[in-house]
Amino acid sequence: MRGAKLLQYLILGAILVVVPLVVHSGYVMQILIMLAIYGILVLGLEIILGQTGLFSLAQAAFYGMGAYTSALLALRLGWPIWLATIGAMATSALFGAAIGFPVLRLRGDYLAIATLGFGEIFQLITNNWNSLTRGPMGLPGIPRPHVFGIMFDRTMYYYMIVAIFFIALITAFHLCRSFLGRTFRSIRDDEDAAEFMGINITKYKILSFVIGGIFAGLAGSLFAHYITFISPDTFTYTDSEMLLAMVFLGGAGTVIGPVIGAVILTLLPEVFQFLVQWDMFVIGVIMVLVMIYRPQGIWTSDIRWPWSRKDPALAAQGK
Amino acid sequence: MFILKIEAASKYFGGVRAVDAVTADIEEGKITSIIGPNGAGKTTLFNLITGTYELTSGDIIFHDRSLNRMHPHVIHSLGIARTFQNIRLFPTMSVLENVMIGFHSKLKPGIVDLFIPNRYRRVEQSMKERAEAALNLLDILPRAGLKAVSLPYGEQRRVEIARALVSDPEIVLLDEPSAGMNVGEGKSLMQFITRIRDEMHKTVIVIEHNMRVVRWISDRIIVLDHGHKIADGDPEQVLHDPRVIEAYLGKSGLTNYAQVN
Amino acid sequence: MFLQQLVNGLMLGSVYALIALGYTMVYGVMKFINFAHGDVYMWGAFFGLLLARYTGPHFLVILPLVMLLTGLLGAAVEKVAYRPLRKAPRLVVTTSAIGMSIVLSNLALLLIGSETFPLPAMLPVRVFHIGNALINTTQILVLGTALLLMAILYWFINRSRYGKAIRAASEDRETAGLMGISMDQVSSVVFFVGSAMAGAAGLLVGIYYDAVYSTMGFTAGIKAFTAAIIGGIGSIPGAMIGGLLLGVVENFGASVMSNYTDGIAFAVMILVLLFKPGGLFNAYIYQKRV
Repeated sequence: MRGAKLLQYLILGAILVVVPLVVHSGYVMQILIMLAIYGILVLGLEIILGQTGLFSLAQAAFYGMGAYTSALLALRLGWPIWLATIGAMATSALFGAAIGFPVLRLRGDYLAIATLGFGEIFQLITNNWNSLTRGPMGLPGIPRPHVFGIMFDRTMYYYMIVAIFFIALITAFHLCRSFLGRTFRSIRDDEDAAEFMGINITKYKILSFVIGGIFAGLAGSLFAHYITFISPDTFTYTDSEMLLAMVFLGGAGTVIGPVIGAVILTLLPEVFQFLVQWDMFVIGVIMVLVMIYRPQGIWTSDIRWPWSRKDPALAAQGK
Repeated sequence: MFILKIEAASKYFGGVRAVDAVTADIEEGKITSIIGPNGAGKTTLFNLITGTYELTSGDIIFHDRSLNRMHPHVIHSLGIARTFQNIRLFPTMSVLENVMIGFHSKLKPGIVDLFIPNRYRRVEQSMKERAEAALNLLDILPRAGLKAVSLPYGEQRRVEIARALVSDPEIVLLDEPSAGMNVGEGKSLMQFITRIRDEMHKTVIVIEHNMRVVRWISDRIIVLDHGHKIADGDPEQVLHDPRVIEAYLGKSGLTNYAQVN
Repeated sequence: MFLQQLVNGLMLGSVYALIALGYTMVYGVMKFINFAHGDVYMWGAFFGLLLARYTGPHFLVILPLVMLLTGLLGAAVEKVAYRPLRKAPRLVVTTSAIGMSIVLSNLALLLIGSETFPLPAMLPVRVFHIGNALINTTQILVLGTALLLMAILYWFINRSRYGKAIRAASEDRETAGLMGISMDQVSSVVFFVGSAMAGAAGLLVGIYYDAVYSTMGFTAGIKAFTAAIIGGIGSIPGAMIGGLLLGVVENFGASVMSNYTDGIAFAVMILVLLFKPGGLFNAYIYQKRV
């Protein structure tokens, strides 16, 4: 079982390594890079929403926080990019804790709307604090990373970002499988019961926001230094909705599910070009349909593939 | 030796006096039953002990420490664990994971433990071992890998008790542990509760409706009615107290009760 | 200046109150935040725009038609996206509501366009002086219509048969069900009425600013939700007062820091959620523990 899983990942990894050697299309590379960035971003939301059950509509704001921090540190203070990235992760984590603190008492859709409010405040600030962010004009000329004086081209950036994505994926896997993930899930399942079982829910909810923020900050920084220009309209409420749709479509509560959701929803408008303006509409329809017909999402932990062995739970029951 | 002192504890919800100036000392190493008709304030009293609500007045003292205004998770880590009247297992988790959560507050693993392989393995291993031991005590170890909520009712109750015991608390609060169990299950549960006292040397406080269970297991019975304590003492004495009988059955029910007894 | 701000604030607030009624009624009966409500409001403005093109700018014809159309739209949304989820966890319903909000706002974008459309004038503009404040006919129309609709709704909830059913369902869904009140019917009525009010608000705002655009629902929706929680969500008079209060606060705030007008509403919302989640009048919203 473990071997089969490892093999699947090795095959996937091999494909991703080979792609740039075979496909010389900037367009395909661009999509793959964006997929990896969105992948990291939804992994963060998965920890907040999927594991801990905190309905956050601020993930795009965490993402934007990371992008702006990294860009500003590199542009204004001349920090090296790797340091700016760490700064971005730290800032988004702080932002996560700052949101986490006050909104902890709220549950369910109240939390959703409060986080939405924080996201909008982020929008207002980036749009109006002209001296720092240049407002809606955005920040151009964000440096790309370079080694030994050679600037990263798209292919190099691609390899770097795929590697980082896999590190993020493995980290998320490890985290969710560990005692920490279990603690998060106990809060999601029944936070009162969790508290009676000795879980300090305040601490772990903040921690969840912090970890989700770190992922988002990383994604934001990678995005900023790839695209080299950022403006507030990349980090709006609509983007948070989209991330939400990715997590729910793929399967909240699983690690791979949200990534699959991100792949599907990122590719959707690319594959169906005629959908150009309809993409958000289609996403809305998908969200409603998924909630009605398959609220657990496409990918669930109890999916049994034909090649996987007998369900251990059923085996224990002697069936 | 008194381990828990409830001192004139009161909880009002608006005008409703759910628990009204209840005073009781709980003896260490004994099984104390709390009985009373529906709405008597039994579960509210549990909720006060475990920190769900703040007391309106009075105090609850555990080993010379006031539990008032403490968070439920702090109270748990001091050594008071509970089960729930309507089972509250974590529905998406396996039986084993459910019980492992109960041990979390004892081990208090930190973020660092995630990234040091040796420590990580040690943490997970000890959580797992402890949980398996607790499941074994309740004879449900073979169910460890199943989703907790897929078990029959009686077994779910046992998982809850295992989850409460895994942290090795000093006091275990059981809220209607025999509800929904058949006669056989009820009987083995009763035996198990006495084992918690005799072999694990824990203090047990139990809310129970089944009088047969109450009489059999209790060292002492506290009777609540409309938030007041109306009787407190050893089982034979309390169960024959006319005030208790009246609270339970009303005056007209006296004869029925006499027949049952 | 003070009087002028007050008049403007009350006018804006009366519109927030109209929208807030929908949030509060839905929350009262079904216990979830209808994220698509702001978009129904936006559709009210669009229906008004379309009707004005076809029937001419006759306010008294357009208003009831807009309310009918948005009412039906709201009831349809309930039937499609929420009714199948009545027994589902709230997270699921909320997600469905967010999906529906995306559907409605993008449908407007696709069918009608992303431009800002002007609405034809519905009445001759005249300006009156009250003390040193100015008030024009459009403002009187907006404020008057909003107050009248709220009065009608108040009567409907307190006196009519459906109103009683709605109140009963808000108090205790299960018991109401046992008493023979059909949840399907109550939900349909709640959505119809709430959406009709929001539609009217959309039309009024469209007339007042002479502008209709596909994203107008988002901010208005949040502000109206804020109004609803200020008054205590679930409470109908609370929503009315909350709306007026928010309108006035926002207007005075905007005169101090104009760039952050919307931020005032968001900040108020977060503050209320954190410190007085039951609203200023402490309505019941806390979820039961244990």
